Amino acid sequence: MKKLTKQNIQFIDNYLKNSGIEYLDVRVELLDHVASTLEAQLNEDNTLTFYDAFKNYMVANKKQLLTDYNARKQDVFLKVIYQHGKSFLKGDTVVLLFVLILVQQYFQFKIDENIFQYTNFLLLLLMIVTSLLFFRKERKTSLGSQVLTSLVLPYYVFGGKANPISAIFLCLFFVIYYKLFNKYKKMLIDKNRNLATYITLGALIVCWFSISIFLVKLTKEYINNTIITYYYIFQLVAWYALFKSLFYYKAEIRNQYKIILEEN
Amino acid sequence: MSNSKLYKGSLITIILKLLSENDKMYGYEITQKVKALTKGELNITEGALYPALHKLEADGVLEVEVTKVDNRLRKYYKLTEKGTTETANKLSELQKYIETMQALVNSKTRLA
Repeated sequence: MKKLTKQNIQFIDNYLKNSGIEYLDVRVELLDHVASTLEAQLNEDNTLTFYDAFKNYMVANKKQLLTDYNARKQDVFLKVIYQHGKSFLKGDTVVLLFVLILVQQYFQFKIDENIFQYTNFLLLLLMIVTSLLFFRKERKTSLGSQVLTSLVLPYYVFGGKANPISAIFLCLFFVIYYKLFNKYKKMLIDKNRNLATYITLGALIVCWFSISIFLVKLTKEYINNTIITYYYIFQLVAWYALFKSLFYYKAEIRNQYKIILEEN
Repeated sequence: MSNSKLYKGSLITIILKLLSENDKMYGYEITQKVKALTKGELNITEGALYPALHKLEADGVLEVEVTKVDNRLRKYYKLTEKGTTETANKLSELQKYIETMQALVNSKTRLA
């Protein structure tokens, strides 16, 4: 019974990595599948060499492997968003929201737009630093990486702009942008992966800022301090929920992929 | 080798049935087992198998165990408690479907 050598395995792993399959959990499984297939072929045909078998396999299957990989990325991202949503609707989060609203009713405090923006930005920084510190290894997995991508969402949803009306429109813009990006992503990536990423990111930032400035100006007269205060409370609770699901995911990834994380 | 669309709807049931008979299995093993059992008639591609496995894992029907085998890591799948109940349901559902289809397909010959 022929078995692949350590060098052969490393070769397949490097090939998959260079083809863009960067997430450890997916790569480990794919690597095992390719290696098992090649071992079976080598045992069937004694004249076949490892490199020929590998080449034949990739010619026949590479395209499909990459398509599946991209589909999986999107699936995991949607799962993460769903989990964030669920975490927001859990008992303690809802209780916290009501307590904060009652406190506001009682003390009638008002939040200034500047405070809103500064704390929002600080929370975003805190979130990024925490996740980079605590997710160093986990972000190499599909789930970990998509969790980190989703961390910027509340910042987009609630915006650095303390304005619920503009935030709703910005969310809409983000959804449309995401849909369009996915539609043309394959076309862009086929040509040049890095260029495609820079162009789309650049376009998003330019569009985002111009639209948000326009919307904030347009909708400012409808917004008063009470609305901003409630909006602020809502946003704080959303960050709390996000922190909670962040640690939920950390535990889940650790639990499932302990050995993969240790090996790499 | 047939990869008819008719098999597509039963893929999850096939996976669950195999896992209920074997304590734990990995992806490649499942494809080979199906191929052997059906004498090459049904060939599950990795493009169909892994998304199905990942979905079942996300739904809590399967759980994952990673172990080191021959210079590499291997991801095994096994049924959870929820998975065992799900398997029984899916199998009886499929059995019923087969009976219904048989009744439909055979009805013409009986009439004639």
